[in-house]
Amino acid sequence: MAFVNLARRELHCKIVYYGPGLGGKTTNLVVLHQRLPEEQRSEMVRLQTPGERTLYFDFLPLDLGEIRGLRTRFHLYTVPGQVSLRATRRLVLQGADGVVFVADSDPARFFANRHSYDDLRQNLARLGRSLESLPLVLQYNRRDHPRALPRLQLDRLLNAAGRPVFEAVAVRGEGVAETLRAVLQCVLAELARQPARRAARA
Amino acid sequence: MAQVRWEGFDGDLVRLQSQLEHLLAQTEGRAVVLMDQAGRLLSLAGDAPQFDVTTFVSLMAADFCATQELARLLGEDQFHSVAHQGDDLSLYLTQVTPGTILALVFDRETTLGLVRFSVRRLLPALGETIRAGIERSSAESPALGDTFGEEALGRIDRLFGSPA
Repeated sequence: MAFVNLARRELHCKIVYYGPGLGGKTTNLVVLHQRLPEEQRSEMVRLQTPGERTLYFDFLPLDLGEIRGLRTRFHLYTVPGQVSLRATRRLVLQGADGVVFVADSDPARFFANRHSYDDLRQNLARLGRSLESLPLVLQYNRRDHPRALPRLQLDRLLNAAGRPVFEAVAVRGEGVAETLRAVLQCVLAELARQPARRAARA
Repeated sequence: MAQVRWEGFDGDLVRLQSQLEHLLAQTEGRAVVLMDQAGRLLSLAGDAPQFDVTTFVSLMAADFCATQELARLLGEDQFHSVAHQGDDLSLYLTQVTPGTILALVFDRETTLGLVRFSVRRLLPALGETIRAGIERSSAESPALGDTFGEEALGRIDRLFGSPA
């Protein structure tokens, strides 16, 4: 849940990048990290296996500075994609304000996409939340794959709810910022609908 | 649904800060940090600004939550605390209320026993302050509004470029 710390005049929102293993979640954060101006680039945390797979999470804090009296910070996390790390994904998902689901356009990953999406739904349910009520955008990554799954096929697989979709080639930085902007837009719209509190006067 | 929790109002925050500083003085600790389970900072006292607080909090919260999963695997409701011992600096973590975690950084000037004792003694009062803050936070008040969102997106565009 988004969190305002009155004492420090800060707004914190948590965004989680979810999706099948090796689909490009970490790459999204690495690209964003590289694009940040040096003075705003803090350290990116990567908790990896020796084989450079995400073991626990990647973490990138994004500080937008002060907006209407509130220092506004977005915390970007990835989950580990490996099927066996389901409990770890649930831990990272705790308190998420928005989710980016990074799907892999490689036809060989068709069912991995579906399994990961179902895993997201189930993990949310175990946290007492529903996929339908969560701000979520989809990123169809690896669009440069020579046999990339048609967008319509991915829509049928993952996007019955008509969520915003972005095509991306994350390794080249394409579609990465657009995806982030879209999920933040969804989260901020949700916050605007929330009853705000006294701190908004700050 | 995303929900805004505005934790700690006025007097609650002053009380919270004072309690943390009191704990620090009692234990001769280096820093004490209060966070939520999602890895967001609530309050801190002591030397914390000497390290990257945002990263520290995200890792500590993850560490504590992972430990709670281990407890459940073993059939325990929870592990009440976690300690990490280093050569110079050590860490003590404990749950204050469901969803909030306290981390105390201490050096060789003090002992884990004293830290644990002092934290345990303070926990009921600290928990009361946090619960009072959360209760007050659930009161309705005016919205953040669309202009806040517009301005935030404008900052994102300046950082990463406007959408095509």
